[in-house]
Amino acid sequence: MSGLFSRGMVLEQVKEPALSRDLRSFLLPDSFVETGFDKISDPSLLIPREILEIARRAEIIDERDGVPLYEKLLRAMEQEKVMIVADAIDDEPYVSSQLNPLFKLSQQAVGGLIYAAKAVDSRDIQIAVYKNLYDLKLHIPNTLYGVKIKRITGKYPVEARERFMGKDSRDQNVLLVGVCALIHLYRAVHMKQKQTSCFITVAGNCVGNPMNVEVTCGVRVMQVLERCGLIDDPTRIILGGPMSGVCITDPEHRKVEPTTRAVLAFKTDTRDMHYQCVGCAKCTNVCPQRLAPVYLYKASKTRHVRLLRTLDVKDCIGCGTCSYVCPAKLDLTAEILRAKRMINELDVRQNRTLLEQKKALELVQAQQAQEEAQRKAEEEAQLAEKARAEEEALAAQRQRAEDLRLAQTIADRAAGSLAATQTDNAGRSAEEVAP
Amino acid sequence: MKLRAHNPPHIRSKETSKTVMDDILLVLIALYLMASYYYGPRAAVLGLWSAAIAILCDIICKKLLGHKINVREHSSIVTALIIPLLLPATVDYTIVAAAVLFALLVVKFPFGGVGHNLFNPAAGGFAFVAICFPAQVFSYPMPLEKIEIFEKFTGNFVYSAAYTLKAGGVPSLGGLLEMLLGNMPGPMGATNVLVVLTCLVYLAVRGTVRLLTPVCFMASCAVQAWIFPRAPIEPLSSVMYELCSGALIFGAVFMITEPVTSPKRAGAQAVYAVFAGVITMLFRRFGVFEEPLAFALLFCNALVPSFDYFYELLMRRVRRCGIVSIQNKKA
Repeated sequence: MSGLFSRGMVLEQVKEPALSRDLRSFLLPDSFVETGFDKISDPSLLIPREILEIARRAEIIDERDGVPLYEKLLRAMEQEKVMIVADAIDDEPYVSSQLNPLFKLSQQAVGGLIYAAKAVDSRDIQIAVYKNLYDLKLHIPNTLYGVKIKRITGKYPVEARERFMGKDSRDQNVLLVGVCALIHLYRAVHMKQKQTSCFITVAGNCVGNPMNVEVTCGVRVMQVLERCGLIDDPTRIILGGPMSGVCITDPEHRKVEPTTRAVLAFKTDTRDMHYQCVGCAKCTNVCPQRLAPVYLYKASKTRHVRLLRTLDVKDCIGCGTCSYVCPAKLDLTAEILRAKRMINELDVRQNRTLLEQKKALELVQAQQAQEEAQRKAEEEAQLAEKARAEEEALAAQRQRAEDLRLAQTIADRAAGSLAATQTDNAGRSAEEVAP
Repeated sequence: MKLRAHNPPHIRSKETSKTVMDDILLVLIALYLMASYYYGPRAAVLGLWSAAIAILCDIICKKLLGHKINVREHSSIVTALIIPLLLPATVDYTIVAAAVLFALLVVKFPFGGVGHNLFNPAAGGFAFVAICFPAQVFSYPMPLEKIEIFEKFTGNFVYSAAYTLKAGGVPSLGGLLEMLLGNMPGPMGATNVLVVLTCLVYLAVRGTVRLLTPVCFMASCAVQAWIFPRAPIEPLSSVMYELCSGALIFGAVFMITEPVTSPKRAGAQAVYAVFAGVITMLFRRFGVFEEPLAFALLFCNALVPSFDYFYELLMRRVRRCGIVSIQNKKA
């Protein structure tokens, strides 16, 4: 009932015989470089800051994500209640470059884990090992030097599973550190040695002597392969795991890096079978992120951006399960990752235009505000003008009234005098008439 | 050393489209052997005739569409082998040819060929001949009767159990064991219930077919037969008669599970199978034909895009509610 209740898939873990064989070393003569940190001779007296300083000077890089160990520890120091987990999950087939050093150099691995725990002042330490390993000749114990080994259950993309450390990690910050980085930390503390090497698995059906090797970084891939014995001409050489590693075409020039986990050489039939998608939806029912690769693939082929967004193409983690199960052998993962990149680019561009729009908007708003202020000022000026005009008009009116009143009085007075003269005149005329 | 760049993953499962189709072809051949036991070599000849027409038609259609002809692609042959198994062994060669030609020329290739057809080709072909030649398609010979390969059948035709149930009667031909073994008149490949179920187990173990769809479909039909028996019989025997008569289980194994025309998500498949069961039983009760599975299937096929659409919206809601954590990313 895959798809309804469970996701992911069970892969055949072809880890033997490399896993149970001894860890070989392929180190160049001048690969021992001192860290230059020799203030304290007794490692048990180290304080957290000094362990961090050692990790920084030893240039240790975590092989599971390529982040310097120093930065990871520094970030974890700022958090509270951190559980440190030594990552030896190795859920991809063929790869056993964490498991093998964990059991062959277990003292160094556990020692490194204890130093890392000391650096971030943590009490909880665990070692994580994948559980679905069936073909092992090696017995995996429950504890290693008193440190609990936690078996991680689940189908292939283990790291995509929610709460994959179990219930007890829900309210705790988990810091996953690769086992190889911890081994290098132990060496830096005890032997004052910089990280100049890395642990890799060399396997595949063209390799005569599959094994785990400690290789000096910078050795060419072809040298490593020849060291382990090529019995056939490989058609593809992979750096990393078979599910998510990259294919290289120039093994003569490509060098082994600190984050290289495996070198695999395969001779496979690479003919194109010209199958078409029949819509069996095996990819959809196996996807650990609950995406629908069957539709994503078609949407990506037709560059249907809106549909890609609706189907959450950005949630793809590139685990490769869809391509693995596809009976038509379509390149689903590559096509979907291409679409994801396209959408991300579009988003970046759109964000940029959004920012520009925002800036333009702010500019327009500022202009508007300015105009508003100007208009207000003008209005105020107008108002003042109006008030003044009104006042003037009032004064003029008052003046006119005054004038009128004055004129009235003058007129009255004039009328009075006129009347007087008239009565005088009348009296005079009456007098004139009377005689 | 010739190295070429390939995209990850670098390992693939061994299952290919060819192995999937070949698994189905293998179990279909087993059914032809059973049919040959009951009806003589004519059954096998019908299958070969049908397959030959399909191959010819496939090549012509692919040439016309401009597709590359791929010898590893056997879906047309699967369609062609399913159709005669739904018909009686006495059926005319021309009717088989008409069904196969309709399935490929009308139902499959005009939509764009493999992986693009909207309707199940086998169901389309069977529906076509059921409508055009109902007298030939629904009259069955008795099993183990001698049928000439190239001459017209002169023996007696009998009604199948599905017809009796349709008429409201109780099938009287043999007991439960005979029904399971297929020793009763009916479609030449679909009556061998036990063999068909064995095929289902084989396909499920091989991972070619998911058990979810056929089981949900059969359960849906069984529950309806239990609650609403068509004949005056016990609910349990009603369930047995409904499931074993006609081509119900055959359709559940070979036609509903067809990947192209069924929904994509497991949950949508379960809903679709239950829905198809309801429609099939309704068509059986109220329809004209005694075996309406093909019609019900065509009807449900038309609704599959809607099933997918709504389920995809639901899954989007599930994803965005954060049920899947995106921490601990790998890439």
